[in-house]
Amino acid sequence: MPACRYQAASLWRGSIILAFLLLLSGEAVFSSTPSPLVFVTNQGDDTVSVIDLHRHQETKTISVGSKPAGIAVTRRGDAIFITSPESREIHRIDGTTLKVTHARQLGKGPLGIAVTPNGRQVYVADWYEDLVYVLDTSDLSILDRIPVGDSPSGLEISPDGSRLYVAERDDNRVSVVDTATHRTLARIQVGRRPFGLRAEPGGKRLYVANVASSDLSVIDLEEGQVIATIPVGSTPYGVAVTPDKRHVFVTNQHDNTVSVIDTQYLKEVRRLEVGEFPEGIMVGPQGDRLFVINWFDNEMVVLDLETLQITSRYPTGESPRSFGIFIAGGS
Amino acid sequence: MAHGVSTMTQKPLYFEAHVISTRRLDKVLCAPESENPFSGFLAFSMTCRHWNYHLVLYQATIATYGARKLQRHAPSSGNLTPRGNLPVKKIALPLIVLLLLTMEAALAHGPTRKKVIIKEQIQASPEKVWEIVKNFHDMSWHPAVRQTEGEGGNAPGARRTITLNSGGKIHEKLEKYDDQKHSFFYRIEKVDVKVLPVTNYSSWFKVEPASDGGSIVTWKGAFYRGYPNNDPPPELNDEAAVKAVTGVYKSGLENLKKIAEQGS
Repeated sequence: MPACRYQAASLWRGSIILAFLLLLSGEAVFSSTPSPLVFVTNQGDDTVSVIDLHRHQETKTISVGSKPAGIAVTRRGDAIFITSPESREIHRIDGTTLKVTHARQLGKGPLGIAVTPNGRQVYVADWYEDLVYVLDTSDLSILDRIPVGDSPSGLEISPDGSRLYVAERDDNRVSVVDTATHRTLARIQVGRRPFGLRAEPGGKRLYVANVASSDLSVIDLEEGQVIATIPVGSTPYGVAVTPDKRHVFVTNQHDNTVSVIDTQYLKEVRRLEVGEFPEGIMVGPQGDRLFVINWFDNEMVVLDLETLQITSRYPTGESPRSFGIFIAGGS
Repeated sequence: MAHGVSTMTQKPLYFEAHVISTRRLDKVLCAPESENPFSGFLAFSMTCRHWNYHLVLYQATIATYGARKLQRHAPSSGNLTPRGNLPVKKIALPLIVLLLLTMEAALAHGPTRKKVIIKEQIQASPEKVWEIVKNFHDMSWHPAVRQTEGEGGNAPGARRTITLNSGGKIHEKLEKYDDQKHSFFYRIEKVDVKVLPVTNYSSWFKVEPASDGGSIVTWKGAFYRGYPNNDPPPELNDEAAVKAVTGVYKSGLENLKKIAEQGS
């Protein structure tokens, strides 16, 4: 409480000026829309491409460790984490300056990576060590190591941040880990060689792409079991879900297509030609566009989710993958 | 075992270390070739055989020596903890360390998937060019191929064995075929790296119309090098793999161009 009238007056002045400034700055402050940047890990030229969707072009190329593959962008887009399995490194990129702020050696084969919704911790799966590392996002220091199953690949954190889902590729299994205690709560058998996975907004279901059996396992997380296994195209890699939860998209690497799954009827309803060797995939934060990274074509294609047509293409660096979350606020 | 106590309840250290090390190395070296979407890590059948040989020897050594030692040092009733005089420190551990050290290179990161894309412009209609290449079981247009035999026609699932002039053989499987679009997609199921230094190889072949009425043929491959571990020998590294595949595509497409443009 202001101690005297003078302080009260300046408080009023201050708040009026502040309100005015806020009005001027408009969308940038009021809107909760994350920045329209797409990050692409280019495994072939050791870089990360930054594509600005508003400016319709790649605006920056950031050098990172050798053969970057995995990626996790925080919900607000303030930080981006990259795994480079070949050089066994993790890099942290600042979402504003777009510069590497931290880098460290980690494990023997770090690939799958996921950051918590509050942006404080990042989980990294080490393929060789059968471990998930828990790192502090501010300095990449190791907070814990969680032993998991064989060849952990894709990682996904539940929308409320309470659960970590681990695709244990060579165990044909997904493990559910409590993020508070780091204890494994459940292990759910899925198809053969689960790799990419994504939870639906709201967190009731988890969709898992099985590379060897070329199908998608649908896990009801409340029941703790697979409720459907849906055949998709050859060697599926990544999974994306619409914000309204009604559709799931899967990249089929050898089929050059994306499978469109209806989540109510639990079947594939369309298969879209997208380009060659599609891998990373995301639905944009507005839920109106689908972003697909084509490893062979060195290109990202954007599809309109209303028409399911390709509306734009962006060249990337060499051999792009973007395994994980590569757009802030996307799903 | 004496006193009815099972040795399994003791779980001596060296058995566990043995299990962990062999499991990890087994995964690196012996995962099936056809199932490896993971970019960096791959098993290779030749290395797998060598590893299995060492593994058998190692397991036999541990089993024989370990079993004999355990028999002599079986715990008295009630005492289930491993005795201090089990040969963990003296024998098994050094063996494990030695094995892990020699295999450390094998534990290191594997190769990244490579790609090769070769295009050739041909002064002949796409229909004519397609006519020459469209039979999956006829590779006579490629100068390095002596003969092709197989079954299944041009249906997905068809298999062929190509015998090269050098005598080497490549076993391939047709995955997709589109007569309308003049394209097909196939995979190598088996090949000796001395013949072609690649693993996990898949390839697309396509004939498209060029603006001048001719054709553009595109031959693309995605593969890993022949040697999956660190420090590959020069003949099995990334460069060797890319060079070999590039050579196959270039020589094939150049000859195809000659044949197609010869008229008739």
